[in-house]
Amino acid sequence: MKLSYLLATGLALTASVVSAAAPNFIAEPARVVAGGRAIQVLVAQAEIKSEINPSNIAVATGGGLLGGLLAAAQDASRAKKAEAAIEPVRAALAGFDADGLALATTKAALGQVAWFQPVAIVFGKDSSVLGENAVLDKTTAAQVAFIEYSYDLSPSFDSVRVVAKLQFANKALPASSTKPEARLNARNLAYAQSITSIVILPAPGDINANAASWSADGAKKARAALTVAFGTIEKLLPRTLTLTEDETKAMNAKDKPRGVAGGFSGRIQSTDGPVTLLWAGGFVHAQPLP
Amino acid sequence: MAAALVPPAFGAPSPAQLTATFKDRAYANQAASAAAPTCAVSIVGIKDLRSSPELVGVIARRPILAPTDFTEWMHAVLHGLTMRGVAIVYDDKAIPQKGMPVVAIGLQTAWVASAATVYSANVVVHVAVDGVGARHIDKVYRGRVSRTAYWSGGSDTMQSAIDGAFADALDTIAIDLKEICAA
Repeated sequence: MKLSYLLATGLALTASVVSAAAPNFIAEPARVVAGGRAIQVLVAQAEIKSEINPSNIAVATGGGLLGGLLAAAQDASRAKKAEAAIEPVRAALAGFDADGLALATTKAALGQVAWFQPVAIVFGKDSSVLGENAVLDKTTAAQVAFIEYSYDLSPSFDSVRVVAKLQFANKALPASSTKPEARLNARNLAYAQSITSIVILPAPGDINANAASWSADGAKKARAALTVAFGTIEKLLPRTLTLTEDETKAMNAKDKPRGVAGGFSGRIQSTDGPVTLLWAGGFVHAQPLP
Repeated sequence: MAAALVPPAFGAPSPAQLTATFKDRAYANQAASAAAPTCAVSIVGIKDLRSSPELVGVIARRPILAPTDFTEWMHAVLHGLTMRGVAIVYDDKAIPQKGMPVVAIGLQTAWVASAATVYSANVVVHVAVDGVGARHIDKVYRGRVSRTAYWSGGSDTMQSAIDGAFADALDTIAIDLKEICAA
């Protein structure tokens, strides 16, 4: 394992412990921004991603270089299998406009939030720090709401998942900061939140059987699942943006039982047959493919 | 979803700039003459059909930039057909060489992503061929490869991943072109 990577990972983890997190709710006075709020919708990926369960063999073997190498080899093997299995799904999904769906979802959702009043909604692919920094430099608005979507198949290919990551950053440099990219540090964000929408394949099998099911008939099921998943985000985004601090605390209170849905764990907010809404720092919604 | 490679918590990760080159691992030690072309095609068009031509991906919040000269890049990649037994002739005026299949190429997608410590690259290439006689190809070819970031997570690894994906696609394209030539 690359030493600098491990060092960087360690530094990042250390930094995340010592730095304060961004607020996960928008307080009443912060809802309307003097100077306006621009929206940047981002989808960095070109096609549906595969995902793997990262190897934990390094932990099982007590760590060290050998454990790291074994873990990397296991990750590589899993990634190779997942990339091979997902290829028919990608081929069958050709022409599916996930970028356009992300943009339409955002517009429809924000249209339901009266106080949001975006000055502009722009689509982009560059979700890097440099890319977002350039957006902040260029905007005439006082704040930019970055809404980044990612979509993938779960490691077992039993579900399609869409995640919307919300990060609001101010154009003005934070006090005592000279680097423009500091505007995007977690501790300086005006708001950070995420929404996860999972659509589960009925009667899933192994990874290849699931891939065949998603890709059959021109990826009929995969297209439907992505549409349903984005549709759920459209419903949950306005609700997320209008959450108060008390509501976020109440959803994480111990009187709410813990549960697992779609491979995610969190506190159960509601269940309706096979449909579950969890709170895991953000909403996680799991439902079977209709 | 699993966390991808984590960048340092300070500063903005500098971009990884890919170059308009193509390293063909499978043929790295083989002279061009070793695989004498059994087929020759005339390439009359190379189109860039990508939706975000400047970017091949974002990994750990680092932008991976595509080569700036698309034509030079594709010429480097398509040279890989020669190593696979298909000689190529470029004809910018779209005047096919007599007796040669006429090929139009379109790069639809070239992108990289990460999962744990693994980079995966994918390319999607549309190929249209008018063969001699009634043989035609109108087909989308996919190429993919995964590379583990054992010792380097830098531009070299990204470049190697994209090159590997193109090599994977070229393997199949060459087989089909040789079939057209043989017909």
